[in-house]
This record gives sequence, structure tokens and C-alpha cells, in this order.
Amino acid sequence: MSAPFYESTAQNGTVKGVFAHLDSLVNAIDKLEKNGIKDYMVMSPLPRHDLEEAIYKGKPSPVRWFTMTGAIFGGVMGFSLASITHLNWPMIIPAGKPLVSIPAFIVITFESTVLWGCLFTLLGMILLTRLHTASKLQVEVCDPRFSDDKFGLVINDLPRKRADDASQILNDEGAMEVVNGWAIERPVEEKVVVDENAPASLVEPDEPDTSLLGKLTIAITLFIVASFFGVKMLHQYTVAETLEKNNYNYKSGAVAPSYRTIK
Amino acid sequence: MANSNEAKLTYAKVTEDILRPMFKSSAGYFALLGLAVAIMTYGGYCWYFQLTRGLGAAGYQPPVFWGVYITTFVFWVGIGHAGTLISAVLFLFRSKWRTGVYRASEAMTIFAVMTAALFPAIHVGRAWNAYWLFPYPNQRQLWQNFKSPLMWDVFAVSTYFSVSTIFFYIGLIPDIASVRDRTRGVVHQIYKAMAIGWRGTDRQWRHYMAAYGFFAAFATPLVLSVHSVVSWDFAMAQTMGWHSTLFPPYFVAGAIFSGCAMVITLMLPLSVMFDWDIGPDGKRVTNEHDKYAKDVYIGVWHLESLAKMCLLTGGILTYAYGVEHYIAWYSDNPYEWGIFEYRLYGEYDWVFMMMVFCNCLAPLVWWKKSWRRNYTILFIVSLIINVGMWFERYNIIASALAHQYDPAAWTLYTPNWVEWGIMAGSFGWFFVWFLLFIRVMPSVAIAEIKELVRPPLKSDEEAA
Repeated sequence: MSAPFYESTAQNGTVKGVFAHLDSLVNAIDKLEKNGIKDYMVMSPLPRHDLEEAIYKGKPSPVRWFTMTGAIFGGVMGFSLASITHLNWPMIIPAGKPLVSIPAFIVITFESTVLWGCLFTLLGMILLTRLHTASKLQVEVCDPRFSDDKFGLVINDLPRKRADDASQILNDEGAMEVVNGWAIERPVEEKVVVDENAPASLVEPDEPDTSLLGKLTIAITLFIVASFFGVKMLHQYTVAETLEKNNYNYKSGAVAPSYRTIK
Repeated sequence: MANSNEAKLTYAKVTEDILRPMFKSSAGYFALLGLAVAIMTYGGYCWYFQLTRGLGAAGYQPPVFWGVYITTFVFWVGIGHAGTLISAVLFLFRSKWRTGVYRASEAMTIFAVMTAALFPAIHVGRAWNAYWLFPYPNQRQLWQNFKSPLMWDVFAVSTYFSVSTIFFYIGLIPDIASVRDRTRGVVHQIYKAMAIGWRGTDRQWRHYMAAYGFFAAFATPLVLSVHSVVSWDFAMAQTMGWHSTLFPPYFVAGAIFSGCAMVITLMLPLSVMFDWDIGPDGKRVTNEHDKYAKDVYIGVWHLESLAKMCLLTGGILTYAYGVEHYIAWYSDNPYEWGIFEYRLYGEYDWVFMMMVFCNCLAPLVWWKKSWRRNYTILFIVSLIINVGMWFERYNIIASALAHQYDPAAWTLYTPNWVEWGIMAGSFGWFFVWFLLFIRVMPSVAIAEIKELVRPPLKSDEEAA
């Protein structure tokens, strides 16, 4: 398909290659890595394991930590919600039923685990893929052919010599189109000034921002610990205390006393 | 090996074929949409009638207070199961035939659960208080009873809806990006917003695929749990004919059975209408042994696989019907057996007969290979199964409540026009959403179909 609204305005230092063949792209990536060029972005219309293997060398995505944190948080929250509310307003069955009933609360715990696990995975995916800042991606990345049938590779911030080398590699490996920002002739008045202090957000950083993940994990852990104390405190200041005085221990699932004995 | 003369599916052709039917309108489409809107409007009027006059407007006969609304609720939740089964469970099993049908099935799931979610609100009468179902802090410190299966159901269905919607939308993002790149003007801006910056970069795909696997892993137990929880709405009650440990597997099998039948009902016309069963050589694929049977988007191979799913789950369902009756007889409990005898020979015997005919007998024609590859037979039997699964739920609910322990309280419940109207309206509501969906979104997953296509390789071209 045609690319009607795409116009290359590659900056100095940017090299872009468009590939019609997957194996050419994989070979080009290997060769770039051997030449010490590691800061590149690869665009493809579909997920390919061979591309992921070539770029990330089998390192698994950290999304799984978000999933686990969310699932644990959800499980604790679901069980706490059911237990705390039942202790807060105890419904005493005179014939004897435990207030905190594990079999009955398994369903709520399970549903909450799944729901929060999913929500955290979604959050993790959005943060790690930088979808929230994706509108700032440079124009070379936003080529409509990459959502159709072509593969793309973009490298930024290369000095002229290195950019020429990279273009040469892409050409040698059979790229159907190579754009080298340094090679574009620009009129003096329209020359793009490369700002040394430009924000890094224009270029994707090399490593994922794991400090954010760490902070989030600590916050969630604190919340879980706090929620345990919350259950404990609520337990002390509710009818549960009265129940315990009357030899009812909900933890062991012992038989509850009737209303008459509580009074 | 690759032969340059052979017709091949390419990435560009996949994008083009799937996006072609979008935004194209025809008189037939608008006629269908108009019909769906009309039926939905009539259902809306019936609900308005009931809201303004109170729940007495429905044809409840004490002690039968669960009738058509709960029947239709369970029916739609059941329909919703096939979508997640196909999109999540078969994804984890790496089943190839799922790819063509999963997007539209998932949409069906979302819309079916949206339809089902209306019914608790309709059923409780004072729909404006429906938010009481959810736990929220309030000044009276009142909370729900989390030991009640009805409360579990609220959690199960709302979680199912949220997780399915997330899973559905995440799957759509790369395809919305494809649409964005092929549109202009206002439409382009809308799809641009919906694609939330998707560019298919290596980093995006890497975390996306990891997350997608986790969503599938979460959705898989949900498929089994949601209808188990729905079945506990009945099985936890001390009502004869309901109080059985058989219910969860029986309900889950029934849900997948009805859902797969509904997928056939929806996918078959879709495939014919959008020419998705035409192979790369430009000819319509007519049987599974056709050279391009697995290269079409939705064809006889996919529909036959769905029919096989129906045969499996329909077999489980028939077995469950048998076991249910056998255990009732073997229990020697006169109340329990009384209900089952009543179902067989009482006023509701025609409902029972409908259920057995539609769910146990009609699908048997699919055991013959040429019949389950015949589009007419596939379509008609799938419709029969849909009808039968509605009657199954009606059989469970109405007959058990009409003849409980005390013969003095026995009654005969027949739904009135308000209930029938709201039930019909729910179909209108569902089809309005579904018809709008197939117009504005790619109903076959573009990126996942591309995964099945052999990638363009230089080595292939050199070999040729």
C-alpha cells in the first residue's frame, strides 16, 4: 500500500532502513551489533520470535513482576475485603458458622486475584512499552508501511562516520530503502540544529526504567503489610473481641455462641 | 518449497483483505441494523413499562420469582464463554484455527456479557439501586454478604467482563494502528487516539507479547470459574432439582456448547458476506481438503473445528442430563425425583423435549463429515442449539420453582409479553453492538493472521 502522508525528514545522525525481507533484517541486526551499534529500534507489523531473539537475546520481559505483584495484592485484598467486612458487621448464625469462612471467601479471593493481576499487567505493559509517551516517537518510526508488510530499523545520534558505516551495512544486507540524515542536503536556513541538551524522550533509552518498578513494588508491599495490620486493628475494635471473650475463636473455626450468651 | 507461480498469502494481502470490508455500507447491512435497533427499542419500551409500573408487570407467579430474566441472563453469560475459550485457552494451546475466528468471537463475548449484565438490573425491579450490588463504603457501614453465591456472581461476572474487555482491546491495538495508517482526516484522528501510540517497535512487541500471554493465562481459569459460579446461584440453594454437585461442570460444558454454536451462527454469514472464505487463488474454498483450506481467514476448516467443539461439549451435556436424572432416581429422595418426574411428564414436558431435541439429538447430524462441512446444515443446527440452550435454562429454573416441597404452593409460570419483549430486546441490543463492531473494527486479527503466513525471506526468493 502507498504511504500518502509520510515524508522523510531525518535529522543529522539518524539512519533508517526499510526491509522487505525478514532474514535480511535479522542479518543486519547481527552485523550492527558486531560493529558496536546497539541503540536501535526495530519496527515490524507482527511479533517475531527471531527478531526478539536477535535483539534481546532471550531476556524475558519484566512484565511478569507486575503480574505477580498485582495477583498477590488482589488476593490479599479480596480476602481482606470479605473478612474485614464480615468482622465489622458480624452475622452470627446461632447454630454455628465461622465468621471468616475460607471456603466461602475463596471465590472472592480468586476473582480479585485475577482482576488485579490483569490490571497490574496492563499498567506494566503500558509503562514498559512507553505507550504513554509514544506520541513523542520520531517521524522515521511512524512509517505506515511498518503496520502493513515492511520491517524497519532506526538508529539515532550517530556521528557522520558511524552513520555512513551503518548505512553501508543496511545496504549490504539488502534494505529496500536507506535514509541517512547526514546525507540529506538541506538549505542553510532550514538546517536542523541538533540540540545537545535535547530531552532524551525523543530517543528511546537503552534499558527499561526498572527504578519505577522497584518503587511500585515497595509501595505495594507496604500496602499489603499495612492491610494486614488493618485487619488486626479492626479485629480488636469490633464485635470480634466480644466474641473471643465468649470463647469463640473464629480462626480455628469453632462454633459461635448464640446471641443470648453474647449479651 | 516456495514456487513463484503458486498463489501465496502475503502480509500486504492480509492487511488489504481484512480492512477492505470496513466502512463499506450496503442496503442489507442497514436493513439488519435497523431491524436490530427496532427490536432493541421495543425491549426498551417493555423495560420502561415494567420500571414505571413495578415488578408486578412481569408475569411472575408466586413462588416462581426467577423466570425469563434469570434464564436469559444465564443464556447470555453462557454465550460469552466461547469467545474467551477461543481467544485465551486455544491461544495457550497454540491452536491454529482459532486465529481467524477469535477476534469476532471475543467481540461476541464482550457484547454477550454486556447483555447479560442488564438482566440482574431488570430482574431486581428497582434498577436505579443496582449499584447496591457492589461493595462501597457508606455511612451505614453496610456490606454485602460475601458468603452468598449471588455476591460471588457479581464478582465473577464483573471480573469476567473487565478481563475480557482488557484482553480484547489489547489484542485490537496493533490492528487499530493498521487502520490508523490507512485512513485520513477525522477518522484517522479517532483511530490514532484508539491506537494509543502503537508503532510496532521491538520494545512494544516484546512487552506486549509477554503481557498477552499473562492475560490469556488469567482468562483461562475465568472461563471455567464464571459459569461454575453462575451454576452455584442454583446449586447452593436447597431447591430440589438445583442442589447438585454436578452443576459446575454441567454448566461450563453447556456454556461452551452454546457459545461455539453462536460463533458458528455469527461467523458463517460474516465469512460469506466479506469473502473471507476465498483462497489466495481467488476461488471459494469448499472443503477441508482444498489446497488453500488453511489459507482463508474464516472457512470450512474453522467452522468444522467449531462444530467438533460443539460435538464434544454437547456429548458432555447429554451425559450430564442422563446422570442428573439417574442420581435423582437413585437418591430415593421423593422430592428430588418428584421434580425430575415433573420435568419429564408435567406441564413443562414440552420444554424438556425441546431441550433434548435441540441439544442432544440435533447436533448428532454433525457426526457425519459431509454434513458438518455443509454451510446450510451448519447454520441451521447452530440456530437450533441456541434455541435449545435457552430452553435448558428455562427448564432448570421454572420447573424447579413451580413444584417445590409444598403442593399447596404449586403453580404454573408462563411469561407474559413484558418478559418476552425484554428477552427479544436483549437480542436487538446484542446485534446492534455486533453489527456496529464489524463495520468499524477489523473483525479478523491482522497481526495474528500474519504470524501464520510464511514471512517474506530473501533466501526463499533466491531459491526460487
